[in-house]
Amino acid sequence: MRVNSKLLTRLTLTGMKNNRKRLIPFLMAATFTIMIFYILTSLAYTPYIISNGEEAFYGAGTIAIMLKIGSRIVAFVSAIFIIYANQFVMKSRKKEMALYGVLGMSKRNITFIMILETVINILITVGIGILAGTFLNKISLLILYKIIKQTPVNGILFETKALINTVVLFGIIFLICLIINVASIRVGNPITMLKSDKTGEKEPKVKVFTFIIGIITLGAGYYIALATHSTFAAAQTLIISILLVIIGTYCLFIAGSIFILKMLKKNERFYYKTRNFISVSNLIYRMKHNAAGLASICILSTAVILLLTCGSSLMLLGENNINNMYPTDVRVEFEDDEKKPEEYYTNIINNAIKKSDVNNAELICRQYESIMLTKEGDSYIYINYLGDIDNNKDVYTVALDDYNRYIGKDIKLADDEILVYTTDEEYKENNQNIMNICDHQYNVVGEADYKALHYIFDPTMALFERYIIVFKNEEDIDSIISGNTLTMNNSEKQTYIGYDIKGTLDKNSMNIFKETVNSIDGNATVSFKEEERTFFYNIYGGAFFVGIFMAILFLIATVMIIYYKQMSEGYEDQKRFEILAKVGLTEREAKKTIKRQVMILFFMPVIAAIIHSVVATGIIRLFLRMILVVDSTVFAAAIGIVCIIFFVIYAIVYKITSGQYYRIVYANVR
Amino acid sequence: MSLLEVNHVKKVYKTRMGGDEVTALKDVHFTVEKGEFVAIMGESGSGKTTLLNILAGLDSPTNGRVLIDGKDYTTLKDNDKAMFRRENLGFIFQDFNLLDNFSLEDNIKLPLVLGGENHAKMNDRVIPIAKTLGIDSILKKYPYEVSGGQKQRTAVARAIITRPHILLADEPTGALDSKSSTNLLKLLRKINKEGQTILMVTHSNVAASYADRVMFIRDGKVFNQIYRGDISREEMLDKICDSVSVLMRGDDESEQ
Repeated sequence: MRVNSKLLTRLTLTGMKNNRKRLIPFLMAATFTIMIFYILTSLAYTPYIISNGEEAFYGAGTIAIMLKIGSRIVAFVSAIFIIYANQFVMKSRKKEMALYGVLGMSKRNITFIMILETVINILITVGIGILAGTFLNKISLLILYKIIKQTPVNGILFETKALINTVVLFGIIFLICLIINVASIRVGNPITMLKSDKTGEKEPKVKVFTFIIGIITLGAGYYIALATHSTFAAAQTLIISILLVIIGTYCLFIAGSIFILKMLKKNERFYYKTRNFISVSNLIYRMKHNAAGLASICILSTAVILLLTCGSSLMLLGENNINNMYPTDVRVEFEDDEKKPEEYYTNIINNAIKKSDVNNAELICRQYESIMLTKEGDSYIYINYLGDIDNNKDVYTVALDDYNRYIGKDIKLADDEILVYTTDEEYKENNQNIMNICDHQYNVVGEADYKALHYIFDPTMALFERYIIVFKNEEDIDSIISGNTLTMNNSEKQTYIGYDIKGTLDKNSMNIFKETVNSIDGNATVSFKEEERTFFYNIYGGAFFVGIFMAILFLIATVMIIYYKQMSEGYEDQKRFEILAKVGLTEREAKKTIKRQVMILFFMPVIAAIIHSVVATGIIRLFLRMILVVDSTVFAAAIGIVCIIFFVIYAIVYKITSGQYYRIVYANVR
Repeated sequence: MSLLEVNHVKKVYKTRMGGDEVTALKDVHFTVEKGEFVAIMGESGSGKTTLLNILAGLDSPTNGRVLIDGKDYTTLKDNDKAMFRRENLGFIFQDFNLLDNFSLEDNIKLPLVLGGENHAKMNDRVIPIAKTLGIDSILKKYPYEVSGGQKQRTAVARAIITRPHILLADEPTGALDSKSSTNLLKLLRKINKEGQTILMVTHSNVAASYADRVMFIRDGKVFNQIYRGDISREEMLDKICDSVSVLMRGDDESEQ
């Protein structure tokens, strides 16, 4: 039979119109993801960040990399998300297509309708997404500039490359959807498709294997997260831990939920209560269909919570952190084979200061030796490359004379007595008063003041726990350092000199200063806080910026899934509550039951997400320490606050979408 | 006092915009005594479904009253009405209306659970009824696993487990084959003999022939009634068929 294309077009449009309750949220969500992807790629390619392979400003390269990684993640998430949502949109359309089939429309005609619908979808979503993106691009760039403290630029932002990438990527995603849709219709016979939801279904069984896998992976993921005690370990284990927890979450939502519900059902005293009877058996079926969706909500929520926490920590504590890492405006580090008097170094600096013509405050000079030790059992020994790198400790040693001078006190130590300061929680917990360092017993007689040496902590990385150890004299230190045969280069005497400047440093005087110092002593490293600040702001700002975009994307995805779940729940429950009403369930009881069931279903993932986030607090904090040092209590508080905020937002979204659900269910109850 | 008193009930439906009025029930007046098995017959559109909905408390009459045990419940508030329905009435439907996510046992227990019964005592009530209805061996199964007849017997069990004053049956054999129908009707007769009052709406002559009394409804009024008395079911069926013929002929005449 030939059906003319005009009729088919009209059928397509009517079909889309009738399906608007499902279609419009889908189109909106797709438009949003397209917009986000387009903005991120546009920024990644913009000459305002990288122009002809050169950084537009110091540190712009880092931002470009983050934007690129971000846009890739967005691409991946969008693909999964759009394909998932498409499935839902097609659910009701399938029946319509089947009806067309029964009425005598050929598969070719039906395919035509689907292709047309996909084309319309692409035109709407990509069109609006890119249009909106183009307007928002400039604003986003200005926000990014503001975050990283760059002066705003003029000019329109339009990247052909980003445009092409966006169109191609989402074209492919929609094509995949189309193929899935056409395949699912071609395979099915119209009659079975028409009747598809009439057949009763079996009560789900507990998938024991999945359940065990879930417990093992979640347990392992949690264990890794909780057992990780150093930044170095966190950098390695975070991804593994995240993957394990994701697998665990999916498995447990799928199998564990049904296991628990079945247990509840077995408990007759609990099960045969008006309150629980309907909810429990409904939930068993709900979980069968929705477990994966709920697990996705859980994972996305966790991601939003953690991204927001990390992002806001970076923004709020960034400045503070830079000040901690760079206590002075200028820092110069020397490395020498033997200890030279302080004056030798101060002279060099003063000389350079005079030449570069800057006003300076007092010079701060610190002399110390640093060595990497590894902890084995209770003793600290030289690194031997066989032990666990995770146990390595960054040890800074200083002689008592110097120490007293640095903090302006007059402390006395007997032989083999030391003072210790450390960031190592494990050490603090053990509260030891004897320390075995390289086969020598030392008595710990007090805590060293970290201010004595905090200037010299390596600012860029804090992979390992740090120790400051004050020894009675230089010889003690030498004996430890010289015994080290394996490691290279850290046997040298180190000197730090820092000073503050009055007013601002210009590039010229920075260069003169650097050159002068280097011409006298080739082993010196000079760094300026101002430069480093820009660098860190780029990392923080870039991470924050990309993080916020992802958080928004995940949030949209979460909201969409909730919306679709509510709707499909509603249609399935409609019939059920109709029957219950006939049997004599009062409207009040029905409302209560429905509410209870929906609450359990929709708050379970967010509660699991909050548990995940709380467990992750430690490892995320350690991971973050690569670029930002956050106090554990502050970080825990931050996660707590973000969790509460997220919970409130989630509750609002739930409230709004559940209205839709109640409307559907009650449509026939009365 | 009669168990059920339908007192000059009138039901008028208005179309949504207020315009046309449709009179579904003009003036229905009858009583049902305790222990009776009454069948209500009528063509589609005769008003029998409206009547059943009013008896079930799912709809309220425009005029007149419905009394069960002397109590008028049509004027109760929705919630109280639902409670009243749950405590005093049992229902069987043409399409069974079993919940597919409950086992047969739980479907039967549903009204007890809603009534807040102690779970330990539930089995004492479910098992004898299930035995009477011949479904005691399939209690753990789910509705999709059993036949239509078994589903309907489960629905009967669910309806009578609360020991309702009246069992209302709406075309209970409508979706069953003849063998299952006969089986079900015999069971209804059996539980009626045990004292259960039954009011059944049907347009199957055979189904109606199992009742003690058959009421014909036409154009919103009780048109005719047949009492079984001492005659056999076969004779009753003949009488019903005759009445139906008269009823249909009446239609023809009015059309001419």
